Amino acid sequence: MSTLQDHADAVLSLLRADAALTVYDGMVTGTADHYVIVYTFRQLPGGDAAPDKTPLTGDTTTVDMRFYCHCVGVDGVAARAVQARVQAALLDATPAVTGRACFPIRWVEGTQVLRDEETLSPVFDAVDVYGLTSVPG
Amino acid sequence: MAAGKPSVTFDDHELVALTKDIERAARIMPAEAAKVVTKAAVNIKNDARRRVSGLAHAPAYPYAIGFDDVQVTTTYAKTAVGPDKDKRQGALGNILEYGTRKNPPVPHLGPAAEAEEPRFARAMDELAAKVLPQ
Repeated sequence: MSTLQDHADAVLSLLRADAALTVYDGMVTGTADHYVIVYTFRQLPGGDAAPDKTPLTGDTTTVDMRFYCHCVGVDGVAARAVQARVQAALLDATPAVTGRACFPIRWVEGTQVLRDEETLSPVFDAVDVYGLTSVPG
Repeated sequence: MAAGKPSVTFDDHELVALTKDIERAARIMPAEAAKVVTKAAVNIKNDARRRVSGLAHAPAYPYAIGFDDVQVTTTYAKTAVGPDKDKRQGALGNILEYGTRKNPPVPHLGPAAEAEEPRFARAMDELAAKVLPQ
């Protein structure tokens, strides 16, 4: 299994540990009216971007994953409730990934609760982006 | 001074020279910092455009990404890089950067800024060394 998948699994497991939270990985596959859908984005920073985490050999060993969490509900209250559950599950948590030393998950950026701009339907979405960085360990 | 009283003499020529160096740096720095900020903005704009190019449904969006004129004062030089909502597909910025519940994101502005950060920090360090003699 790839390191990328391991990182994704570790974070998704943290979210799925909350039985009251419906979690989708990259695609909505159910009919829940409030849920979090998670998209992942990976960066591999080298010595320029992560000098304190790069070995003297210059090899790229740092994994920097971003988790775009769309917290969805039928109104602002529901979207914020999902957002709070996601925050409780992820913020400052340190997941376990085999063969890696993980730093605590940090909040990177986010958006306010917005009505769905694509369909203008009564669905509200707030995005929080969380970052997970790891090095070999 | 009364005869017999002790006296103290201060040699302040190094302090005076330092003052002149700082005054000179303060005069030069705003314009030079603006150049560094402009270069960083160009790099972020180009990188962001590259990262978000080739989307079938947003072919014009990359060309909407630009940056504001650099504002310079004695204490800062700043600009903002991002899509111009008045340009074609410029309003798609938020949707592309963060995605939606139905479409995955295409992170481009954030990663481009992060990629530029170490180069920008290095350029500012070099500028400080240039305008303030060691």
